[in-house]
Amino acid sequence: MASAGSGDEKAAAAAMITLISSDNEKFEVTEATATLSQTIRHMIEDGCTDGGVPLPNVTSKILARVIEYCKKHATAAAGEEGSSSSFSDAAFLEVDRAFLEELEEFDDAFLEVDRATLFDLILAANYLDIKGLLNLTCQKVADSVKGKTPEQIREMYNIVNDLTPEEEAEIRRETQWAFE
Amino acid sequence: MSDQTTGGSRRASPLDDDDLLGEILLRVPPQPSSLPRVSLVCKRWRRIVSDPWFLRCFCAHHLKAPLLGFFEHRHLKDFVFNPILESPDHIPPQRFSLGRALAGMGLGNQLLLHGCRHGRVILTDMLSSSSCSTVFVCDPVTGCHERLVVPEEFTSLGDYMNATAVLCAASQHGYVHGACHSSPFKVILVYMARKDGRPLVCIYSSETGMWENIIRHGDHQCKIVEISSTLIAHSLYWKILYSHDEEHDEDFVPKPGVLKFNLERQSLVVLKGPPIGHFGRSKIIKTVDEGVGLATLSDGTMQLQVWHSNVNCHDVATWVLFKTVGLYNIFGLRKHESRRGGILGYDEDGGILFIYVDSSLFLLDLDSMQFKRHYYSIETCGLRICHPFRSFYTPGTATAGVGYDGDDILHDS
Repeated sequence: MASAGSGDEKAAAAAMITLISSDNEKFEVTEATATLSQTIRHMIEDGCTDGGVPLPNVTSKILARVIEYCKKHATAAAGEEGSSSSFSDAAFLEVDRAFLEELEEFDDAFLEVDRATLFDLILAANYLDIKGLLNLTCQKVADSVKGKTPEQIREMYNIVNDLTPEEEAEIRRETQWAFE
Repeated sequence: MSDQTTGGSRRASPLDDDDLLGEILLRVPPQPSSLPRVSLVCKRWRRIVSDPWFLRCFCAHHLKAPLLGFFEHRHLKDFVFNPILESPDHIPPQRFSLGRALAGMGLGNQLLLHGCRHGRVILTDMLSSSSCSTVFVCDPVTGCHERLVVPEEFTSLGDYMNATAVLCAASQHGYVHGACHSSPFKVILVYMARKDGRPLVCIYSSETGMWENIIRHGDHQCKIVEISSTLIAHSLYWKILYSHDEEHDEDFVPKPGVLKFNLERQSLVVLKGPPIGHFGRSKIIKTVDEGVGLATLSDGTMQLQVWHSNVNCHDVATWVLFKTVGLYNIFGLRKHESRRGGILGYDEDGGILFIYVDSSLFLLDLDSMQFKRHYYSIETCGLRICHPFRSFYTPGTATAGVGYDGDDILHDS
């Protein structure tokens, strides 16, 4: 996707970075994709990416998914920037909406994973500091507790209730209506 | 190949990390049952959602507190909260009972409810020609309230009319109102002596505990039409009737207008109102671009008119009819000559008009024209002003509601 940026930026967008997973698998990605991660962006700025970026906290399975997310969102970001200069306002809005819809569909499909993968994606998004991915994955977990009772939440996530009966009674007394 | 990080032992889970659990929990819905429910999962979850920093992030993430319901003044000292959300977010009326907060205060029979803003409710007890007029600021969520005595230089002006407004004084960057219990607040008191009708404004700050800055407007004789205000950008607006100085005295020929108090510049001006017939039943509203508008409803035909104003740099307002909407169509009601209707309230944060038609209360989003319908019997409830109430509901706040001291608001459970 064409970028509306300067010549330098274009050169940077074409530069490739190697990411190395915890199980030693190598992934070649464009800098535009990699820099969706603030952690990697800082490494690039500090010039510590020669010979690849080792990511000891991320397995190849999860890294592949993270890269898939970053590729899609980097493309969308570049598309948005590029289109603003070449379309009329109305056409731009149309393209913009189409982009957003496509991105939303992608995100929905992306989240169709089992809980273990979802949790690993959260940990990776946090470690790599990818705001969009952290928001998306945390929202998915938050949605899963929506409308659930405390008992159902504990059961769902294997959490032991360590509240004393007195503490529990106090919360329930104050907000009885919230449990009806 | 995908030998996970910890092999046979328990996998790392974001739920075990306080920061990540916080990130997840601040994304639960802003509805009032959400945080009480997750706080009952275990001690750790309870600690995280009770943390003041978490609560600030929770408000900031959701941007706007949910509309929990509205307050109305039934009669004398009977102020009732009407919940509008469904179970489990349906907060029972007695939970937000103002009677409990006001009990034992030796109140007179002149109690008036002026409005709600940023989670607080403001009432006055104005005793005509007396020096002990008071303003009450209540926080229904915590149960805390403060009693403020109006300065004597005001009450000594003789017979008067007044309007008040409360607002949160927190102004940190990114602050989102809706759980402002421990934040300072301001009370704006508009005061006009019946004799000369010239408006005065003074401001109470809970930070200093003082009434200060008396601002006068000398050019017009004014009467307050409605005591509740609308906050738009940095200004408060009240509906008034006014006349110019030269036309003053016995022949007070009132014209519809809007009294504007700019909180930043601390200036008081009178704006001309739109040319409409039902001024008394209209409501000052916020336009999409944070301008001043007015909504009015004609009885019988159920035509809702929305007026927008352009206010120039000399504070001269020009009004244009922005849109006319047939509410029979919008609400899917059959036309009926004898239908009664009116605008009962306005939620400035959500742009929602509270419209009464026969025995239903419609909450109409002026932007999208989407609405919700609530049963509300005029026979049992009467036609009263609705004061919309928005707030986040955070667990552990209600236990503070026993004292009379503002410090109780900070009580940490």
